[in-house]
Amino acid sequence: MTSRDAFIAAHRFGLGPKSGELERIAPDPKGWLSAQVGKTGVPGDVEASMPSEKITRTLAGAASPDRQKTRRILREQAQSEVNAMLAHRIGSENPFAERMVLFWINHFNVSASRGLTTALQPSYEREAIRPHVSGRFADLLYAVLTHPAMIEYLDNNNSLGPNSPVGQRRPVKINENLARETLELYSLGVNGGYTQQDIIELAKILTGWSFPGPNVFRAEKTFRKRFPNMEFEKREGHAAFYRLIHEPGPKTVLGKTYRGEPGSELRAVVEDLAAHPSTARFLSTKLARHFVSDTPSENVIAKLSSVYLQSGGDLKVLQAALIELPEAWEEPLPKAKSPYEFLVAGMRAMGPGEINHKHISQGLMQMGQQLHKAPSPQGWPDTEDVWFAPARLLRRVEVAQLLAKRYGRDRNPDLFLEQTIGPVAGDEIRRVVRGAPSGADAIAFILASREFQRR
Amino acid sequence: MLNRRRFLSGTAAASVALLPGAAVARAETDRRLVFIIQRGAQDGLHALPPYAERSYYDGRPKIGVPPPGTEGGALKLDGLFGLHPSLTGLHRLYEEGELVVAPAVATRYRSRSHFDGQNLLENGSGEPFGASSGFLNRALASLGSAGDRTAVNVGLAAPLMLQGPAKTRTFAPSETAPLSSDFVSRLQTAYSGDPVLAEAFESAIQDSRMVSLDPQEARSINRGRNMAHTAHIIGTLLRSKEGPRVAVLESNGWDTHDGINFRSRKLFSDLDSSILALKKALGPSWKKTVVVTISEFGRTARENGSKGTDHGTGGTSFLAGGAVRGGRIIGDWPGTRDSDLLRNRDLYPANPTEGLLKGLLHDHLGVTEAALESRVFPGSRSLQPVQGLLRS
Repeated sequence: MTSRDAFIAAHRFGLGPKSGELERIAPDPKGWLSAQVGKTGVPGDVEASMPSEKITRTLAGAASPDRQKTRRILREQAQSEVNAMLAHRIGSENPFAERMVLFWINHFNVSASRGLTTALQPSYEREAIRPHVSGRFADLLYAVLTHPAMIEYLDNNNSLGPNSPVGQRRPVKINENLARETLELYSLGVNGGYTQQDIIELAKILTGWSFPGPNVFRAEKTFRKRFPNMEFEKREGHAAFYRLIHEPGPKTVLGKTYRGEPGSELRAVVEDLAAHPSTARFLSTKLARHFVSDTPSENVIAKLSSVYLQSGGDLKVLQAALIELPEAWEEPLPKAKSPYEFLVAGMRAMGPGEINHKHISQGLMQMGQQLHKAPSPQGWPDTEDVWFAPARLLRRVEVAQLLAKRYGRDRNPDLFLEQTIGPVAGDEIRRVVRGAPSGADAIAFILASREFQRR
Repeated sequence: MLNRRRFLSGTAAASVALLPGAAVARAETDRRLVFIIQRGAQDGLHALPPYAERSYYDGRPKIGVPPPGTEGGALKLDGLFGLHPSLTGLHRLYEEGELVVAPAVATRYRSRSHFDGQNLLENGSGEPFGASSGFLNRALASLGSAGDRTAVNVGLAAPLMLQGPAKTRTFAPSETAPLSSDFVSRLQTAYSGDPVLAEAFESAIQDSRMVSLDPQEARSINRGRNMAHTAHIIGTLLRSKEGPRVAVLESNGWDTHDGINFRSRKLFSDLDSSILALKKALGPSWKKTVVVTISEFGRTARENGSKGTDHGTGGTSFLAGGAVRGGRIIGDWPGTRDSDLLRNRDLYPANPTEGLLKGLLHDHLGVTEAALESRVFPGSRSLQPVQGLLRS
């Protein structure tokens, strides 16, 4: 019984067991998970590249002959930090904590689809996500909305208030993208009960939150002469607020009017969005889908929602509640691992050794889940109908075979089976492994098995 | 104030009932139908600039496509409309009578979420979460056995419009050496206790035996790097006797909030060359083909502050192919003056997407009126099927 729970703890809550891990956690799977709650800070073995502020200033300030070179350097720095983070996850002793980080990175997806978002991706995880994954959801949401990576990804740097000091001098417009996704994808959810007018008003509140770039420099040029006494840039951690492009006046979102100092309204509206019952329900549904089943029961969603609301949106409390959720321990294999989860689990099972990042990124691309490149702000899907579609499944099997050939040649298949899927392995896979024509084939069958592909 | 809206030549939303379709057996479907879904919301006024309207340029001083005859100007279709200058192939098809253009096309969706808009477009129910299957899948299911695998898409998973009771093919070629048949049969044994994995694996193995491409070609197709190449292969599949008859091509990147002039050049030239590639690959079957473009909604009539446009309503659809009664711009044109716009912001949605698709599915594939109204586009009876899209 406990070894089955160890399987669930390691595969569903963690990132797949390392060699010997199932055995180690079997005496107390829940205790193993609980000990990881809160350990979501920036890991010590990952060397941080530049802070986001330096990246945006460097790019904005680079004269054109150096621009290409600067971009290349930033891209390489980002890639090396992304690789280090992946290696960290493959070796991590706190895989549940890492899964929570991954969950929120996907919830607040910023795709590395443009040069700047690619350069900023590691700093986004380091500055906006990790510090708040075990804190309050309101703080996480606030940090995300004001981070340059998100501002660039959803065009808030191109959103200027028509009645702002700059707007009064030249025609400018508000861009609603960030406001729309904030309501639809990050907080209330698509049926959460907001209107187009709420989006527009929230977009007004968001104007001014930007980062050093062409629009800001242009505003600064005008500003220095005309408003010598107004603070040009207000920095707040990794965020920067520019009053010159902020739409002034009261704004009404979801029936409540915000009239604070320019720049202070965002904090207030984020607190209200985070405390909204629709947000509790939307986040709980996503968490339940991730940890219980593709179609979680109303009961589970209601339980998590009430924990969220009672704790004031405390994500640490929510993590503890997930571990204690009886429904999460009922079935061993209800969920599909995403390609990323499969590959990380495969590498963890293969044990310590050199990680070939080229092989990993090729494998992810082959299975249709390029790292940090989800196709839309919605992030990656989380259901088996997507991940087990025929063509994708075939790619996974091919990757399982490659992994086995590269790393599995001199392994003992019986031992490998026990240490990865042993507690839940069915008769079929045991028979196929026993009769496999080669050791590498046996390892490939284990990696491709339903027991390994699911969690 | 409907009188200021001009009727264009061609099809009116006539209220004549559809002829009851002859019961269509599977064998009769030698027609080919390709959907190109433009995700992100195509800017219909950029695709089909109404260059003769002053209000068009007033609303788009920086991004309006210049009139025909000027540098970078539209390709003239008639005295009102032109095509985006990158659509040279479509322009030729128009002149040859193989292209129908439909402006101000919109689904029943009036909000501004890509995901909801695409859901509603693809599920055909009129609600973002009104159905978990796709209209095209249900249309195919109504034609006969759901196990026929009549339709194909390129990619690792079927788009929503192809999900549902009818089984479909998924085309995503292998980039590595194919699995040996011994390996396959052993793994099938391992999957025998898991119906989901067993079925998916079986279907994938069948598909992989149909097509073989070298790894480089496979990579390019799987990455979606070359839409025209993908279109060519789809065309080849559709042309083959045992191949699929219906295909969905997905085209991403239409969410042009900024820099539309720059970004749309590639978007439109990819679209253009993809349709030409289909024509070339289909060979003689082009005569029996319709290619139709659809998008979840349109974009604002006026430009925004970043030389782009935001989420709006009416968009432009193209119907290309040898089976199309082309050289026409169809439907109702609402105009681009401030007073013409929906909510003083969007091109008025004058022509329902569902009407266009109902006309097409009926006339081209023989989907019955009863199936269209009850299963394919439930609750759309008031949206009349567009008639006379095809050559008789």
